[in-house]
Amino acid sequence: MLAVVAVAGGIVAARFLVPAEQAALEPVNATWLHAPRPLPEFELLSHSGQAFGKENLAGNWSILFFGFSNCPDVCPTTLSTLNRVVGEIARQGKRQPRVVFVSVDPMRDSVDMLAAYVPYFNPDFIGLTGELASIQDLTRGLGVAVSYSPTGQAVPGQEGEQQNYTVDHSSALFLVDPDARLSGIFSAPHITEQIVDDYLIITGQK
Amino acid sequence: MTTISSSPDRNSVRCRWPLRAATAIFFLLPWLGACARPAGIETADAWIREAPPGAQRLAGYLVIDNKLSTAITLTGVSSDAFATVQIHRTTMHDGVSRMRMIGELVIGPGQAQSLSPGGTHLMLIDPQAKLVAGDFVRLVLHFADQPDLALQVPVKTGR
Repeated sequence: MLAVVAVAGGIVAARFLVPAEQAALEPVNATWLHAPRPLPEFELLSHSGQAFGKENLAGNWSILFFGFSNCPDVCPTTLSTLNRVVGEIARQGKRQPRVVFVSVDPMRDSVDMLAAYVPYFNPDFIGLTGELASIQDLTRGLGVAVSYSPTGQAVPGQEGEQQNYTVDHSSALFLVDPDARLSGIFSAPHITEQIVDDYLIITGQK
Repeated sequence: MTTISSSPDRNSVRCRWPLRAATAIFFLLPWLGACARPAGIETADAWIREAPPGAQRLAGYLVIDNKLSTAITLTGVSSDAFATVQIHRTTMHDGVSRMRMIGELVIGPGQAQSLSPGGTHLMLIDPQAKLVAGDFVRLVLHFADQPDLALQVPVKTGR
């Protein structure tokens, strides 16, 4: 009888204690892929003009964000938030992620363009661009939705639709582990403190 | 003048008539010309995000407060500092961010419309000169059935 009570008590205790401990380690807002998904192979160029592929993501935690430099609202807001995220992680003395901005508008975002644009937010951020097909290798592999649409009214002095389009793109941030596998997804809205907390949980630093 | 903010905090000079004290009139004299424009439409927290190097699209934000008893319609915005100014709206659909031009913005009676990051905003296209934080840009808001409203809007980094 005592044994039965003890076992039952142990089960009850386990149900209360173990889940509570696990729950404390679950990200609050981010999605954690407990079975990380390897990224596809891709060949892009960094904003310094160097070849940049999947192998360059190895060895560090990385946060990937997809956008374009002619996006005046969401992209600068998100990159500014990411600057505050890495600043806060550094302030806490934790291992920082590399922030990688992948252009989904390679027609306008040249290497030189990104070399000027990306370091404005943080000199350690990395900008990637390249052939559209190569970018699509990465976006498809991550499930990033991208489409191109006219914004509407023509802009005086610009040639038709060449300049006057916008890019609809996933606003999520993609957390890649040091083995170049997708480990987490941060969905918008992006709040600095939430990203920091969830990053530290997923990377086992909390 | 309606309202111009020089920081993200509300720091405004409001257009109200009659003003409570003669001293206030004295200090507000330079602004009274501006107050000849639409009574009952106030603005606050106006700012333009400094463009990162190379970017030819900037975003502008402000709050438009319609204190009138009728709806107002913002039909457009102009500025000598840009080739074109459009009203845009960013929306989220299934995790995808979309930005589209909207023709006009209707603000109901007694309503305040916030143009803010990640939502409705002004799309400022092709700056005529490089703008950096600390600069001020003149924007003119055009309304249907209301006089124009001119603002001096500060450029800020937003970082």
